[in-house]
Amino acid sequence: MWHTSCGGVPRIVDEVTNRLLMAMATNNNNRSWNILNWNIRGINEEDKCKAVKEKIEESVAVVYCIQETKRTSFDPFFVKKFAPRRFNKFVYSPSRGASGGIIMGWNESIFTGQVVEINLFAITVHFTSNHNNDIWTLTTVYGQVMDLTGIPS
Amino acid sequence: MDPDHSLRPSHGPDRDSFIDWINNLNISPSENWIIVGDFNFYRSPEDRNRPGGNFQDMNTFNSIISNLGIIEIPLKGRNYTWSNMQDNPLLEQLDWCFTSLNWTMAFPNTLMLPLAHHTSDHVPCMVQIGTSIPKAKIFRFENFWVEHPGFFDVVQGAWNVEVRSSSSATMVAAKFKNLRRALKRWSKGLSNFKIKIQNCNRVLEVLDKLEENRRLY
Repeated sequence: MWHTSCGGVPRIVDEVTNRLLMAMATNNNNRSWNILNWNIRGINEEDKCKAVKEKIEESVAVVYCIQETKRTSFDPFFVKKFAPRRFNKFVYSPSRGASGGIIMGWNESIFTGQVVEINLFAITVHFTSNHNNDIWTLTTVYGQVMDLTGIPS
Repeated sequence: MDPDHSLRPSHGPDRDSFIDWINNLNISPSENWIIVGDFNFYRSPEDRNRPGGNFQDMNTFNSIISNLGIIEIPLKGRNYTWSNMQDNPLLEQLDWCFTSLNWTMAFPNTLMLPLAHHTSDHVPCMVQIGTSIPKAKIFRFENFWVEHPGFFDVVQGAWNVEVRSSSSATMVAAKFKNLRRALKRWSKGLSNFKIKIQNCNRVLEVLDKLEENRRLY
């Protein structure tokens, strides 16, 4: 469940964003970073991918957490459809058929992530900053619900 | 999607094992831990735009939160994160952000901000994490400094520091820079206003937080 996207020449926008984010992370007096969290209700369609990409950029996120992906697997090729290139790591909890599914991705040049736990309901990753001594743990949660038909929604 | 979220039975096998799992999550208060996601739970009737709601669910969720000893990062500027997308919609807050106790001290300016939503019935949220309120590094000269004993000594001391340059303009600029640095350092020890303001803000934050759970008399 651990993937690293292939290399390649990062586009200039990614490069600039990366440097900005790194500068923000390096400035010890004003450390700050953002996480995007969204239950997308299925990431398979093109417009959903586009929407996620937009929100990742809008939030200037260094980590994204997406619930209800409704996807049983992810590969770097698919992840590129919704995650800007600076996000070079991701882990996911597969959906069961068309229900549930979580993915978390991050920019490894800012935080080194170590997976603590992946299960049906959550992904937990331990992050260490590459620029200062910030150490933190992020759990992203999806609380499964059964609907009246007995099919988890 | 059922038209009324509250019609969903609150206990399916998945939900029970979710509750078991999260209740057993071992969050050390001394670690910097943040939990964000779609919990499919709300905490109180105010987290819905319609009266009622599932009180058993509210109890379950609130006891999970107190078991884990986690602190809610309130959603800023909006009351709900989910809509059933009907004409007269049912709105609920189902997406939440919590942190460990230590987090609130390490990153006191953590905010959960809603973004504009489309293509999903859930609102995307941006969690902004900061250690301090960003402030411009503008140098401000305070007029009361001049009346302070020792002010002219600081000015003189800083001005007399040797700067080397062939251009007199560069030298003057360098001297002003030295002076700015010296005055900044000197002014820090002048009063404890900043600390007092910071302390007041802490108290206000605690009261604000308290007010969300109970009335302030």
